[in-house]
Amino acid sequence: MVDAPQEETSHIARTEATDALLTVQDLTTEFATATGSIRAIEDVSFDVHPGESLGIVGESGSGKSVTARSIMRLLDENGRIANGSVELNGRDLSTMSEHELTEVRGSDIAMIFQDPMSSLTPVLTAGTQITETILEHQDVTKAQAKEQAIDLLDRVRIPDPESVIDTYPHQLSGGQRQRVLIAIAISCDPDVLIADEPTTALDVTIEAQILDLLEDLVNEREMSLVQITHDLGVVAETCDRVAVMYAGRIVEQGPVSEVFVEPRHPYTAGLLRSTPRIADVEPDLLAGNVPDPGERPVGCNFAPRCTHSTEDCHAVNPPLEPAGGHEVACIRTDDIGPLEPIPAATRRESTHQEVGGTIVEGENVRKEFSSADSLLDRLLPGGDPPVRAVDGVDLSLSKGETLGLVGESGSGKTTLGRLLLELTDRTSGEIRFDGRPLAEVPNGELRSRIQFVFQDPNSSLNPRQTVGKILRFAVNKHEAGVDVDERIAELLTEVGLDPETRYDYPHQLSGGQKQRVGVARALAVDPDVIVADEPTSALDVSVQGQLLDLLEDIKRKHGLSMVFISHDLSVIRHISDRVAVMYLGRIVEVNETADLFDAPQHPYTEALLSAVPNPDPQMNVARTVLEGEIPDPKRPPTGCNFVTRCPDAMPECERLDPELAATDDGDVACLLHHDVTRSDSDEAERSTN
Amino acid sequence: MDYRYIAIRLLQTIPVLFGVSVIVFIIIHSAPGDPIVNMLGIDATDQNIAELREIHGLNEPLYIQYVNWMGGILQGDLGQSLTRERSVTALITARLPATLFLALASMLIAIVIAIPAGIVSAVHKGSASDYAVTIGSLSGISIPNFWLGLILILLLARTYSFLPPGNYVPPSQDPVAALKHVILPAVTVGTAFAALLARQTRSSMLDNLNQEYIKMAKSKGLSSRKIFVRHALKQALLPVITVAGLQFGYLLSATVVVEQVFAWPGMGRLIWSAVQQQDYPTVQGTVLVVATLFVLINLIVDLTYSYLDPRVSVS
Amino acid sequence: MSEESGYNGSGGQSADTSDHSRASVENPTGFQRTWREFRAHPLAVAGLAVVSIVTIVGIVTFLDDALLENALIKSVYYSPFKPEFMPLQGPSMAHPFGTDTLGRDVLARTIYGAKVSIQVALTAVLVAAAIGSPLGVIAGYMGGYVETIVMRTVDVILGFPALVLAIGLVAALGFNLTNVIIALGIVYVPQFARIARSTALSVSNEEYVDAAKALGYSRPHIVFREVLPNCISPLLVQASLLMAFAIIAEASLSFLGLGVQPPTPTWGQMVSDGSGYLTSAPWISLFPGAAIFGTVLGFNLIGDGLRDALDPRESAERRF
Repeated sequence: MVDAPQEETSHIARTEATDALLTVQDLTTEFATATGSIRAIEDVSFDVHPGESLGIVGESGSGKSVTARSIMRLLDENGRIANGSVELNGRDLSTMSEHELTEVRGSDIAMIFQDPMSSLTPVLTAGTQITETILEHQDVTKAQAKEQAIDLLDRVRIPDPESVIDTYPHQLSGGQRQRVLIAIAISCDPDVLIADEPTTALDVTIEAQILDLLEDLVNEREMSLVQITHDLGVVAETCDRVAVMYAGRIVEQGPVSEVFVEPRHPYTAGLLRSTPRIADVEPDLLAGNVPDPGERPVGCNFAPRCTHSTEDCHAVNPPLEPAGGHEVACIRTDDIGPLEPIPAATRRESTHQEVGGTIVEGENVRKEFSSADSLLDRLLPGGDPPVRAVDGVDLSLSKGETLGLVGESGSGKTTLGRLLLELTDRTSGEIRFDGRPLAEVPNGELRSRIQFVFQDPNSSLNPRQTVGKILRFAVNKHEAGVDVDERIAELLTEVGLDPETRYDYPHQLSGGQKQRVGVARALAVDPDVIVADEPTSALDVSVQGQLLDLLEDIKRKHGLSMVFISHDLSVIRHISDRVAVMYLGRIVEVNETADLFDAPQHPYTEALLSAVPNPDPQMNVARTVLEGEIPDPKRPPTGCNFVTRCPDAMPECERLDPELAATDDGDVACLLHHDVTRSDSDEAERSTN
Repeated sequence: MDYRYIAIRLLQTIPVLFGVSVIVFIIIHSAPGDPIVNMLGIDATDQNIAELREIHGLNEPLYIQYVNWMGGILQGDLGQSLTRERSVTALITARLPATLFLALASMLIAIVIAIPAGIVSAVHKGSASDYAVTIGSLSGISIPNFWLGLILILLLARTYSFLPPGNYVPPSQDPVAALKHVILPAVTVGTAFAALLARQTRSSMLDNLNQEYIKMAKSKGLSSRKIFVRHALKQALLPVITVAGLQFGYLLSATVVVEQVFAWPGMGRLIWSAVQQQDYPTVQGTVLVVATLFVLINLIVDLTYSYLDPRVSVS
Repeated sequence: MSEESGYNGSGGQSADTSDHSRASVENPTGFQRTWREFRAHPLAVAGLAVVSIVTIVGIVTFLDDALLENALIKSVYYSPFKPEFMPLQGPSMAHPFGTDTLGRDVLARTIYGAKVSIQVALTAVLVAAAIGSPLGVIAGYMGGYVETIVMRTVDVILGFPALVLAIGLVAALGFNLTNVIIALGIVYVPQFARIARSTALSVSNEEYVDAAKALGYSRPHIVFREVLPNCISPLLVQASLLMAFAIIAEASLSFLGLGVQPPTPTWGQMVSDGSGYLTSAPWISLFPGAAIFGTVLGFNLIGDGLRDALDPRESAERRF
């Protein structure tokens, strides 16, 4: 993999001489709630020129989505534009009537929504949803509209468009649905396309495809693109200009090549510094939390968290003003000057613990889920084959190490994690704890030696129990004699929470706090091994870093071993000693972290690494964009599981199924590197199903 | 068409029907009092009683009686009425059309009123019409149907003589008269049904209008009307269909009471008089028929729903 | 990760961990919060008021009847049983609801009827809830054969139209108060089981259930301490709505003469008694019927109010 600077995209940023296509001026939006009026965004101003890509980036609570919806006038019933204007081609959208808007929407300005599943009407076919847009704005016949629809589906790279026309949304995969949404949006050649987190709900390799597609479409049609996202890497790779939002206001705005390389606003710099990256750097975390919309401070919204703030900062909201080539909303920017976006420190070698013998081991572990709904469904012939969630996996975890388990959807990583502590029963294969098969380990012992940290902070805590009660249940399971109250206070302090939190109910806590409670719960039994299943995926970037640091500290302090499951490669890089990459229920590569990231062996690992968007605009590599979809886990391909999408596939890859085998540079399951195939019994079993 | 799904649903219905028949059988045979004794009166001799018991097969062990009974049913024979000189099947055949006519008329009235009302109230949420529909449907499900029937009779039949107070006229005989006679009972039965449907329609519509795909449709520049009809309506009506079908059971229950009020010679009245007279074979037969009808209708509703909702029928 | 694209004032989450006022600790679905939301709907409160009045009357009459042999009502007002007045008297100062065919005071009988209705409704629904809910929760959590057996049985009972089954059951058991309660209880168990099961199913997918499993807690603990408490809200709503139905069901049975037998006054029976005198003495049917209507309306209003208060997302927001 050769690092090459990204080529200049063909639609160079226009000069200021060209008129802006879309001008947003002092946009302020309010929502009426039971507790009063809340200002979601304030004084938001930006321009979008023809053919350019603007990224609007921010965390949750920044108001970026509200901005998009305000432009399109698609706010909820209780929302309204309180101030400002939105001019598209000289017409002010903010004051138009609904009737006038129906002419503009879809034909001059279109939007792609975040969640493809809920954005498409379930009872209408994909084709209908495309053709109705065309028929609404263009004077064509139904047959012509259908032709156009097929054409569009082809342009968005959906295979077999003629039959997709007649399919329903739920029959398509996430990536396909997103393509349909894009097809709908571009169907009438809008001047501006607003994409609201278009790839957040998608797997990394699919994300790469969609971003690639969007870039091509924008070039081809000379459309302007406004991309709303929280992912700095996506902005760095695909946008010309960027507007950074914090707590409802734009804090910095300008060309990506400037803002991301020489940020001037402390928040922008903080955001860039705290984002986990694939490069070998240690994120530098932002302190504090984003204020809630109703609780924004007087003066600069960021001042309470800003290391450069002074008395004056708390007085009045700084306006966006030109500074150093772009625009910044900071009264101290002349004093502070440009800031460093990339943290200097590399990953602390001191975090490495002594790695001991094997503590958890899995051999040929399999887990199949039946797709039958009911007893009869199972008995009658002709049903769907079972889902092979985990398909013959060997792995080992050494004492004191952190093993990262990474993969996309359908990879089986979560299921594998659950199998390790028998949260789910495995179908076959052996798992050993401390050398003993799980069957021989008494339940009580197992439960106190290996624990789980869950993914969704909104689901991992019983809403009807206080934090204290939740922890009490955990502590009671471990030692009967210990002073429970004291132990609870101890645990809470250890995870960085106030001991008074024990009286709170989960809904009173933030996402980050809830996750900390989850960690405290896992610690309560004093385990030796922790399996953490995507513990940071639901959190904001700045909070993610805090939780990861916490996990590392705890691991070091208690001498734990950890299995860390994630789909986010940057996070995995940050925290793991060794990494195992999973695809469709199998491990395809295992290696030491640094070796895997610097010199990946398996083509899938390569593609995965290159697909991750890099927040450093000067360091973008040419992406390997995989073709096709992740196969259905009920019907994996014959031969190597990856053969349908592998750019380096050889003819024998369609017949032979590689086994995970050791090579000089780590373990790989790929015929490019060795000849070891899965045992004959596997093949026979597969071919009869 | 997903034949596999249909097959599964059909197969799942069979044990339910079987269970229903067993329960009917058990219930009837647990009734107090010896029907034969009641039939013959106090002067009956033991011999008479024994003879009659033999004739009606009441001396066999229970499960044999059950098997005999089921065997008969599968051949169309539901037994003999103890108090009337006819077979149960004949009684049912004579009465069922009246009940079905009433049920269908009620359903028709209810659907025609309720669904538009529910839609209007959802679309104009918070307005006076919404309020009116909400209050109206709350009252509709709270008012006892027999009381409503009496009030209607009092106002429209007795005091003002607009409409006849019940008395069934078969439509085949005289369609106009049939309609006139069925209006009051149908309105009585249909009111609660309409209220339920209106509430369900309203909440289903509101759920729908809040969905993300409605916003998406808006972003395409479609007019409100188009969005409403194509995207919201179809989706919203699906659960309403299910509820309507399931509430058919309510209709069947309601007819039992309302037929009393309006002297309507249907199944409801038959069940009632059979219970009063302790005519157990008739009670057994009618309850079984009504329940079977109900189960089959539920099955049809289920399959119809799966046909209409693309998410369900695909394998 | 999704950001809210709008706000509905559901309250921000406290980002600051250091400031908690112990005095205002709230349980999210606890009594205080639910009551506060419920209180905001005037019609729901009206319903609660009506039901409370009827219930209190019912309870007092029940105690009066059980312990005092109706001494209280006889001394304060008139006896519901003794035909001691001129029959078919219209409403007047002496007899606000008039007298019936046998010369009994209609208001006194209506008051007594409240006892029967409330007794039947409360008992039948509570018993059905107590049996059906745990069954449903267990079926939902455990799945497999347990679920199949429980739900198929539920399906069989649900295969009967409710009133028809109730009629069949009282016909078999006998026409008295206890049997009416039993019959309705049997009819309502499946309702609770169904709702309990589907709620339990979705609750079982929550991660905290897995967390309890990971800690090694036994199945019974998980079902009763983790799953069941989170299933209560929809069951409460259902209970309220079923009480409304129970009152109508009892009244229907009495109307048909298949429920509690005379001389015990019940609302349904009173309506039936008066049906032959609609034009001459409408008050005999009118008032008991209105009592049924009012009480049922009250329960329905409570049920709707509860549903809004417990899960505002679920219901279509009502104006009241």
